[in-house]
Amino acid sequence: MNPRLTIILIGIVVLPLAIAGWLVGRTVRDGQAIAEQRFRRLASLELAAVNDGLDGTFARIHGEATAGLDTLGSNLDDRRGWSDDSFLAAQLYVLGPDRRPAHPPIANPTQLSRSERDSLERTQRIWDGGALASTIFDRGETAAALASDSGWFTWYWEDGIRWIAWRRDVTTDYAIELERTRVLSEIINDLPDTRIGTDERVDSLIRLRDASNRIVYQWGQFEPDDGSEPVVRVPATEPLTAWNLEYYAISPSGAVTTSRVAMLSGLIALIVAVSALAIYFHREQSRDLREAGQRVNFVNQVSHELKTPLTNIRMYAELMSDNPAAPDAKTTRHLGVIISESRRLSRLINNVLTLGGKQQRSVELRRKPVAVDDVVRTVLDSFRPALEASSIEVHQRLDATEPIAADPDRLEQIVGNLVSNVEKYAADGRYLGVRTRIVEGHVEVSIEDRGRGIHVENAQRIFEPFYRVDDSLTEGVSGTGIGLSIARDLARLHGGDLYYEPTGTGSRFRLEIPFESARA
Amino acid sequence: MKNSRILIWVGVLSVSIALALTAASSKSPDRSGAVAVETTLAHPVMLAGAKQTTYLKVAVTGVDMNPDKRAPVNVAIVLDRSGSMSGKKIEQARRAAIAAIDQLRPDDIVSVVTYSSNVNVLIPATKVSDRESLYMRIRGIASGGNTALFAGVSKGAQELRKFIDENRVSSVVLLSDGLANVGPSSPGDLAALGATLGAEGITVTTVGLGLDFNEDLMAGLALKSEGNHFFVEDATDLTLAFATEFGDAISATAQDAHIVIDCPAGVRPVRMLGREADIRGQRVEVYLNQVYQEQTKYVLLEVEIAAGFAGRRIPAAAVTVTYRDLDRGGMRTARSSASVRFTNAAAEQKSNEHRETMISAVKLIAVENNKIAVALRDQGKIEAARRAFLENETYSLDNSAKYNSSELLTYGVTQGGAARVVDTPKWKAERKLQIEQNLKTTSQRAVTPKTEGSDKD
Repeated sequence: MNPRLTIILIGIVVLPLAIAGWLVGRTVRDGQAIAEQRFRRLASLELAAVNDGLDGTFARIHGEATAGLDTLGSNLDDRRGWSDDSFLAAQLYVLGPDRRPAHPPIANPTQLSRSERDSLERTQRIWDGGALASTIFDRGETAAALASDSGWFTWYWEDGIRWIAWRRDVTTDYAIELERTRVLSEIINDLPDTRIGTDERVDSLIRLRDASNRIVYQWGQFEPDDGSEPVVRVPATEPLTAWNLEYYAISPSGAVTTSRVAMLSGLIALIVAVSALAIYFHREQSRDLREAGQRVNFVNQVSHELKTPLTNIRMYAELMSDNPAAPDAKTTRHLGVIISESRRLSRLINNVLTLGGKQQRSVELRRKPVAVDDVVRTVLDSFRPALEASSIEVHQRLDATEPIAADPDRLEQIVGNLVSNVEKYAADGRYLGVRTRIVEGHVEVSIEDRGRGIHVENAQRIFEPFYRVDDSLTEGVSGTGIGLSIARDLARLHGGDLYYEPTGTGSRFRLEIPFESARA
Repeated sequence: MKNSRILIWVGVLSVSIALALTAASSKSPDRSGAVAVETTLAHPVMLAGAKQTTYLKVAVTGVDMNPDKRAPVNVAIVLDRSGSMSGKKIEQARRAAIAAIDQLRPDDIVSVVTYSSNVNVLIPATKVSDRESLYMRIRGIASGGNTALFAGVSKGAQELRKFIDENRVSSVVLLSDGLANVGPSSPGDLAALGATLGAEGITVTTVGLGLDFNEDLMAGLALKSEGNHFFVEDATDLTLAFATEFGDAISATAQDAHIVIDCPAGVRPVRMLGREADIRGQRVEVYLNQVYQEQTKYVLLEVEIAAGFAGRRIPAAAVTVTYRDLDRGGMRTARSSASVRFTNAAAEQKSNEHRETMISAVKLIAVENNKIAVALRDQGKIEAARRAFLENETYSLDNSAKYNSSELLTYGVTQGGAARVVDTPKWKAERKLQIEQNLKTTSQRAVTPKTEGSDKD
């Protein structure tokens, strides 16, 4: 079994699977990322809506906390009464021209009530540092904008954030310290509750955390694990300075799991299908190869069986032809045809056996010292009758007399194949040039004809087995298409090579057999 | 067994309410208003020639009303359904809530809010017309999670506000067995919430269940909103606590009472005992959320009276109480005053001493002593705490003998009891009892509560 083929088959299976797997993985991941992104965006929108609601709550609180200031008188009882009547106000401050409280009456400490003293203690830092005053007064805006304005001021005292709602009227500046817990309670009351037993916010939870990251309030039926991260966290609206809104939910990747399972099962089905196909092809292929091998064996055996009788036929024909008591000329000619044809047949059988041996990797060289010139002469002698019949004139110049270590039978086969080609395809050039020589450590044999030559396009493919140039050249000429292929393979087996060299007037094949292999 | 016990409690309660109502209608109350105001000085006769301190008591008593006309109530029941409530506790809480709603009339308004880590408005404010559907939903309450107490009470109050009406008594009844741990959770936070709700006319009554709740938090929330506080060690007693609170709410005759005490020159308000008040110069202002029929709420002001001449009488205080009459509607005003006479005879001062006022003053001072003792125990100073309890026992018992007061006797005995368990495991329960008792004393409701004291056996 050809291991390369197996590798290719494995490649055919693995490569598309890898690509498919990668694509599936990427699709799932992208889908997940898109789902998560969409989910996060929705969560952000929800939190933005909560923040809008908180804005509304604070606008309302500001409105309620500053209600009635327009008509508030300036005497102490009126101002105290206003504070007492308000659920939201912890303390009313009226700012004097020195930007410090004119009310409550800090100039006269004995007049201060306990709650007023407590509030002053909480807000001392603000008055001393001038932080609130600079918020209210130093706005760098036009007089008209400053004439009537309002806003928030926050600071920290003991256990958390505190709020002041301030307002500038045309004549008076008010700052109202709010009841912290009341504001917290109002915020919580404006936020939704958790509707247990309904399908409202089943898979999500929104948390409001203060600046110390403590949970102030949460709603939603989802129960996140301790320490789990929210899907989205956004800062809460001002004046909830440094507070955060968090959105917790079951991860959207859970929702994508179903599509991931579907994709994975598709991928597995594909793997199974492609593998089954590959195994099927692999088995088919090995059966074909086995059958081809059997055919080759059969041809080899038949060829072997043919070889012995053919050798006998040739031997006896040659004996008869060499007999000096020659029969008549007609018989001599008939004998010549028998000898020539049986030689052709044995060349063919040799080629077939070589090809079969090559496929079974069992072609072996039986090297012995041999002079290339001798081999060439033997071949030319054996072809003489055929060449003469085709009126091909042989020009030879043989300069390779030194013996080299080579297989004379194989050399003969190479040269025979080349000469046979000239006889078959280039007979109309009526020329066969054979030249041998020793150059730079190798023996060179050139076989040249003056036929029509080989078209450049085909020059590369003539050495492929079973390839026959498909043009007028081969028309009407029988051939197997293995001659050149075997010739080159045998040359390479010797460590040499066979080249095709186009000439202006025909074709030339140059055979090189390395010289040093004689000593090897 | 539990069932029968609940039934007994409900029965006792119903009978007692019915009795109270019939008794009320058989009397001939002063129809000038829903409350009667009385102002007394502990020492109406004082030694001349020296600056002295005494106590001024303003007692506001709810007069009886026509039982058929009693003011409709608006109640939010806020139930802790955190994990610690699971089992018997949540079961009893459900029964208590149902038994409580059972006492309400169709034109009363009820809402039910449950909380754990989250808050669930289980029954938004509604008239008590279709009881069965309300009970069905209450029976579905399951427990689990943490304790978002602040948010639970907030949302309960929010339900009350939907139908807030000056002629309706608005009350949150909170049940919890644990510490608040989601949202604002300190006793200070919850007390401040109680104060702001109280200012709005919403009382928060707290029922602490078992031994693990934070009594300072629960009592503070109740105190600041003028609600009751109950310590119920055994869940089977829950129904009683709820019923008591509901009985109170049903019997209110007046609310939004605003007491203004004006002291003339020479009489300096020093401090208010057991209650917060605005003292500004010569004027003292106190708010009372509700006044219940047959019950007296009082405030006790320590005053410093400048030296006077023997034989002279000067006014000590002018008291104005404005309140909403829940019987006939509208705001009403009641007035009262007190005066002091100076003498040179020490015996005359003594013989004129006002017993009831002195008893009230002693009780409140004993409570302050008790708070100090509890604080010492909290700091781990066990011996000092024991001494403080024993001193308070002596103080209470001495005065109980002096003024022949069974209340002071009882209080004194409990101080001795506290001294004995101060270093034992029983202290945990004892502390809750002390806090509950303090709140009952300082809430200054001085009438025989027919159905109170389940935990005193």
